[in-house]
Amino acid sequence: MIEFRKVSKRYGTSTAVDNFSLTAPSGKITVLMGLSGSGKTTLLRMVNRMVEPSSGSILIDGSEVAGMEPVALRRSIGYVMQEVGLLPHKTVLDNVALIANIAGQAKTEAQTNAAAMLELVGVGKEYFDRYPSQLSGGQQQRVGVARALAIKPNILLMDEPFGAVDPIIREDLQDELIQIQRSLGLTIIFITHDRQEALKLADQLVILSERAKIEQVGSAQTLSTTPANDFVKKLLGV
Amino acid sequence: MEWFFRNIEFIQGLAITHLSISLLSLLAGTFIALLIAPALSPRSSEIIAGLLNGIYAIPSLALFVALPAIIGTSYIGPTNVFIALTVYVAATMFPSVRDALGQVPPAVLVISSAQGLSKWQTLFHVKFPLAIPGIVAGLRVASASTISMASIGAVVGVKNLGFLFLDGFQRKIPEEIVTGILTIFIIALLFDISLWLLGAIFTPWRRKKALHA
Repeated sequence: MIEFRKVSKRYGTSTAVDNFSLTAPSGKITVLMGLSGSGKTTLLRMVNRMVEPSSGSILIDGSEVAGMEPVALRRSIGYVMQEVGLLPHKTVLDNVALIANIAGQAKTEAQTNAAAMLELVGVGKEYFDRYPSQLSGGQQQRVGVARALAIKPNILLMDEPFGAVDPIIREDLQDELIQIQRSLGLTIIFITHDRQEALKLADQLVILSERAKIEQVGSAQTLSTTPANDFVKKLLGV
Repeated sequence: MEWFFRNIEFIQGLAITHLSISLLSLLAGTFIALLIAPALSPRSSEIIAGLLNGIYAIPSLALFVALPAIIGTSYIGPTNVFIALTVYVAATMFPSVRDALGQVPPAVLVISSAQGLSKWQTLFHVKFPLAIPGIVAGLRVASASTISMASIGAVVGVKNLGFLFLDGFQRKIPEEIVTGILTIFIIALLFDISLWLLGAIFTPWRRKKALHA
């Protein structure tokens, strides 16, 4: 369970996040949806302390992240983003194994686990020795997901992970993500612009306007049948 | 040609001295650049780059002669030349290393931080490997200028290929000067080819053709 308690983030005089409170329940997918500049990425990065809140606190299963060592915290939370950020000089397998190794797994364990995770996300053995530049966008993002899973996290933070993937592959990736999430019981916070993606993935859907103001929160079903206001209606296209 | 064959053993000796002093200076200077470039903040790195550039502007002969007075080594001998060349290599390699370390795609740095790589792990697993092409490009320039500058060491008594210019000029033997030029040219070429090869060996990912656009 991830809790945001009255979290604000200010950069100089501008406010990115204003008094934001939300609970992302364990074993569920919480989708944050909103326009560009609504503070979604800031919220996500406060969970693993890449961004520190100006006020308020964030708790994981009841413990404040502010009291945890940032590097250790990040090694326990999977992070996936649109620009996958694979190391161009390492093979597919090594990209995944390196992160697993750094997260504390012994070299051989990291390799085995990396291979297993790659297979899980649909990257076959024939790709293991390739370099990232030899993969399509969809394949690269699969490797990105495998890399996040290889550290055996309970939590995945996903920042528009499928935003640059073509629509057909994108649907496959969404289906696979749901399956993986269910089987591993992951807690996921997922950012997207795409309304279909939001409605499909969300156990809990959060609609944000500027400065991360929550316009409505609830199940995808509730939001699409009873949108709270025009903003939600417009964003969800209902 | 005749002059060359008559003196081949002598030339060999000069070439070996030339080669080893160039190689040692290149190694030492590059090592220094690799050591300081990642450690400095952007501002102090700018100051150091300026300072080194200033040093690079000092003519090599002046530095060879001035060094003993500064650090107390003997006026004649290879130590001064080695130190001066090392300083020049460090001066050229420092900006190359610094800029090469900055070539990492931003997304790669974000994910490295997000997945908990420490500063050192990021340096060794991410920044240094990706900097290899830039560092090798810098080394190719530094190696050519070092091999050329080393010959001036002959003036302060280091018997390297530069001696052929001094001697050939004083005794008016054009063949000797031409031999010096060609030998230095060949050594520079060999260094360059070796560096290019080393660069290719250590960056296997650059040889793989992208299968997808």
